Amino acid sequence: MSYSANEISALARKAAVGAGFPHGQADQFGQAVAVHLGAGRAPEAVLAALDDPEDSPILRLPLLMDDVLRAVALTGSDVSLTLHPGDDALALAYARLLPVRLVECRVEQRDGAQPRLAVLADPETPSRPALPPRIAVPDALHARLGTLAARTYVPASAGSRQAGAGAGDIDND
Amino acid sequence: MKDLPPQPPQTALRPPAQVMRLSRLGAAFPTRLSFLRCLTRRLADEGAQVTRPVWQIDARGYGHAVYSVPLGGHVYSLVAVSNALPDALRTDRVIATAWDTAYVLYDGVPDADALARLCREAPLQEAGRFTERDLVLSRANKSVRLFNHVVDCLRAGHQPDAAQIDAVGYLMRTTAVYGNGKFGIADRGLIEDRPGIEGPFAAEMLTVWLIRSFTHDLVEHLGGRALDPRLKRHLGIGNSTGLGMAPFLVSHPVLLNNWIMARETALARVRALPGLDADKRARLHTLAARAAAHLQEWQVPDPAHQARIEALRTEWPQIARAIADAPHPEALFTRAAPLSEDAQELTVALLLEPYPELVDGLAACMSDPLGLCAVPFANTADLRSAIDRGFGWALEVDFDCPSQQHQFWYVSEEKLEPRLGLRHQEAGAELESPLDIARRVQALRRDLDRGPNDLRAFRTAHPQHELALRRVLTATHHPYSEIQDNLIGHTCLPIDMLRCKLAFFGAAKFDPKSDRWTRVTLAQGAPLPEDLGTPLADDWWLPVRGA
Repeated sequence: MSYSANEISALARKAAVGAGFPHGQADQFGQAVAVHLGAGRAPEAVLAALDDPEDSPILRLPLLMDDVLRAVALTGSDVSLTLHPGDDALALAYARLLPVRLVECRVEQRDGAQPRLAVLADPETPSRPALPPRIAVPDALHARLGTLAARTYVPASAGSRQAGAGAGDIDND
Repeated sequence: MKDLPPQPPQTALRPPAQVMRLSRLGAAFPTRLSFLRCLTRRLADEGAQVTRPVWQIDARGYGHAVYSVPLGGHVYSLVAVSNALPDALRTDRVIATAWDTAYVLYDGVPDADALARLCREAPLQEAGRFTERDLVLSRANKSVRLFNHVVDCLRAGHQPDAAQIDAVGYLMRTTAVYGNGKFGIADRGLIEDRPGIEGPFAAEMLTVWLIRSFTHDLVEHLGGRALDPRLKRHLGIGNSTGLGMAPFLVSHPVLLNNWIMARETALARVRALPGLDADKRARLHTLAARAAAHLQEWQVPDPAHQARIEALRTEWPQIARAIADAPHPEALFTRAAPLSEDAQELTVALLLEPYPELVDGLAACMSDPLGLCAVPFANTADLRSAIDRGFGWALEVDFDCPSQQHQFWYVSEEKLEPRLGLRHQEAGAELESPLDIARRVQALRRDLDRGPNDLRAFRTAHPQHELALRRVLTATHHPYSEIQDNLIGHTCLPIDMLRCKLAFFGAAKFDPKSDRWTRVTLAQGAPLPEDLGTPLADDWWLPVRGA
């Protein structure tokens, strides 16, 4: 089934919180998932990232992207940084969230070496990733994200229904 | 390199420590920068003409209609669907499952298939499924007493009672206006470059303005005769708003900054004017008198809010009288300083109104197409310094005091309704939404004194602080990005956040029903479609019937 980018971002953000990640990293993960899936990349990487809230690209990639941004701002030239094993699958999506125009961005895989993220950016041109109008999401991934997101909702109760929103139930005036 | 045009002179901006307090945000009034004003100005500038290609409404008022309007080189159509609704199901809350009317703003003119799809899906609202051609989803319920009164009067061959129109102000209330990808509708990113709807919430405002026309047409259809245009113009569209609107202001800090920055820059430009010529003085007199009449029309059942309105009615003549002798706008601004925040903010809105040449262009700066564009902090010293400089208001809160953590924001599993709980009495605080910015920044600052000096090592050791760190970075570049109050404290009134946002939409006649939700009137006095080519099109600040 296909969804809007904002639907996917919001769902993935809530799923990350539900999986135990902090809100700040969950925000960026949500945006990155929309970019990742919008580019037609493998959905498995999304679920894998959510596995362990102590050891995940969701925690590491925001730090790496800040390293990239600082380096780009300082040097104005291309940057190449080593990726943690397993972080390469989502690295391009996170890089697309950088607020500058990317002239070139790729993951370099070399035999026997850690993958590296290579970025050539124009720090003078602000940018935001363009997303497709619809993003295809496999049903199994959507269901898993929904299950994790549901952990962030407070169970319904009569008291909450009456008091939590500060409003009555009927408005016939 | 292209030279930038010279900017008008301006005074210093009002400081965030003053402007961004909850109580002042909760005293906001609509201005000529409000989004509905910007929209109707644009429609008028383009000479837009609204057509109604479909009107399939039966004698009971049920069926569907389509309204189309060209704007900025595109055509947009409102699809309106009206159904019977039992009284027992009529609620303004998110937990509602049925409504009197449902709407979609469609990109283009729907063909028969699209129209059939929208007539099927729109009444389902959150349970429906939409496409990227669907730009905005909304619904509205009748104001039962006024809707029936107006229809009954028209059927009886006379116009409705003007006093009742003044008292309510609208025939229907919208209870949600969804944009930006919700339930499958188009992401804002798909339309944010389009002329005419590039501004914040412009597509939503176009929807609301067209819904208002539908409500007018519906009562005329049922009543069998036309409304007096002066009464019709004074029938806006209601809106019932609850807690869902408040987190938006917190989760969109750059956007909030840009709204406030535009208004404050406009004010600073007007305050810098060296004099007040006769035309502007006369205009201010007219507007101040209209504001006074508007305040007389504004009656609410809530005693505390009514007391505020009455205090404002008492104070306002001091501003109105001062116009005669004020040597320049700054004198009026200064005259309001000893008065209530309500009077001060009404004066701000008044001062902007006669100066379209200084104000209107700033509307182009109110969206947020790029988000935060800033180089991250290099080290903990820079971060610590930024917190100390910009978040003193957060550091001074004593979170060991239970009252400072009295409330928590959450999302209920019941139709995902946003709610507010009492931390020390209710379950669910462990799932609270991150609106506790002051507490988070304070915790970050505390850990900075204990943690590694290397910022990367600190962030790795304390991943829970990323949100706070980003807020600090944002505030460093966007001074009006933070509401400078503790949003989980016992004194936090969500209604203040709702009013701030609604005033930027262009709402007036705020009618709080509790400290968590309010009714307002949108587009009251706004031009009718046939007014767009007339001087009425951009002269409806704080409207008064017949003015």
